[in-house]
Amino acid sequence: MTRTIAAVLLILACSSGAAFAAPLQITAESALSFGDHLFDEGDYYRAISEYERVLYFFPAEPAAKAAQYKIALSYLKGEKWGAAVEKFRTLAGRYPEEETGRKALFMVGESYFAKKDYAAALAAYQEFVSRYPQEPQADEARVKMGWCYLLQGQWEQGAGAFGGLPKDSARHEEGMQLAKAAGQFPLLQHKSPSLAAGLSAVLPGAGQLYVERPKDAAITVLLNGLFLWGGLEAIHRGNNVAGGILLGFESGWYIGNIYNAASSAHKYNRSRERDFIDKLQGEFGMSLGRNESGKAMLALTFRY
Amino acid sequence: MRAWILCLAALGAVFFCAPFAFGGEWGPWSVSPAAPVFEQPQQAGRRQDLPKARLIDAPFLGLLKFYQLFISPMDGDRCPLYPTCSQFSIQAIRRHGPVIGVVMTADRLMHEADESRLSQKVMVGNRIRAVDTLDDNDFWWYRHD
Repeated sequence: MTRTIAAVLLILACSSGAAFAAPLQITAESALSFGDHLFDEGDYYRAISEYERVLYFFPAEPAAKAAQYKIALSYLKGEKWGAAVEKFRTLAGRYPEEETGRKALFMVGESYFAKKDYAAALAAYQEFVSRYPQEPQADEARVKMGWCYLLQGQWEQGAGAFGGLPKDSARHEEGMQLAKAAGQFPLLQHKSPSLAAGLSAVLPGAGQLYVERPKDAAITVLLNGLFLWGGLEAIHRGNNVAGGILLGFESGWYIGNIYNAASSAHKYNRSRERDFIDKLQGEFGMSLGRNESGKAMLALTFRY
Repeated sequence: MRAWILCLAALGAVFFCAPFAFGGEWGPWSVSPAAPVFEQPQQAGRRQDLPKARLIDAPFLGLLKFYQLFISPMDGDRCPLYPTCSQFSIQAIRRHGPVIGVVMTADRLMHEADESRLSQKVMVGNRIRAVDTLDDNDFWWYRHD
């Protein structure tokens, strides 16, 4: 009996204590801070949920604007380019006269650039520069425009964009150096795809030798030679069906050989251009790697 | 009987929802190994944008599938490139049709040797292969949008 009374008293004491404990208060700042914590951890998906919580419970708080920006940034860092562009565009349209809107418009360009959609990135940077020419980020946008041109193989426009940095800009000197370096783009050694295809049309394998692919040339000569010889020999011996089949295959090898020569010349040129741009980016402080496909893989540091 | 109906209804719901699970950019995702989700996003570059196979492609695709299912396992794993030549051929035919697809396949078979020397390498299964995607072979005349 005594034990039962003691237990009841204990439960009552605990429950009354709990009633007096202060309830957990979550403010807009604390929710935003937790979102930032997840963002810093690289857990962008969950960070977005926390930023959305700020928007839902505290839509009128100043933190809500920051949350909207961080949602867009989370999409960008999470490599959800389409969603990032959409969110940044919304912000840029909603707050065109505020810093958040200006930064968001710049980040539209950054999102496209990270996506390697250089044509769209160029248009976004141009829009930013034309709308906010005096913004501190305008020079960065002008430099990025130059890179966008270069990465699309338009070296003249690239050099023009680099050289067009205002004289009073802190990056004017860098722009002039980049313009000078971009001017060397046409001096790169190129192979003519037409010449390669023509050479291979005359003599299978010759175009491959021209574009410095000796093993491909040997295989091409061997395949074309064997199938042509086999087909003609079969017809010569009166075996027209076998001859026709072999010559049918040979026509595939022959056209494939011409395509191969032209394609290899384009690959050669692309490889030289990539090496040139990689070297330039290494010299001027942009970090560009290559993914498994050998395509440019950009490592960007965002300031937000 | 009721249990069967419930099971069928549950299965129907799963199949109905399945397409939405792969739609757009919604669903759990992460680029951080520290915060993984159920399925990591594909990191190995752009997905090949392939249209649905046409009727005219069917005989060629059928032959290639026959090769992949019955001949290649006996023949052994010999292709040094990624994707393999037969898979590349399927992609080329589906994207460009049988005529250009066959020409690109002939090109692929002829440039294996130097491509495996020049291209980036990737580990596929337990073998190192040189990456030579369809995009890398038609980039100079086909726009990938």
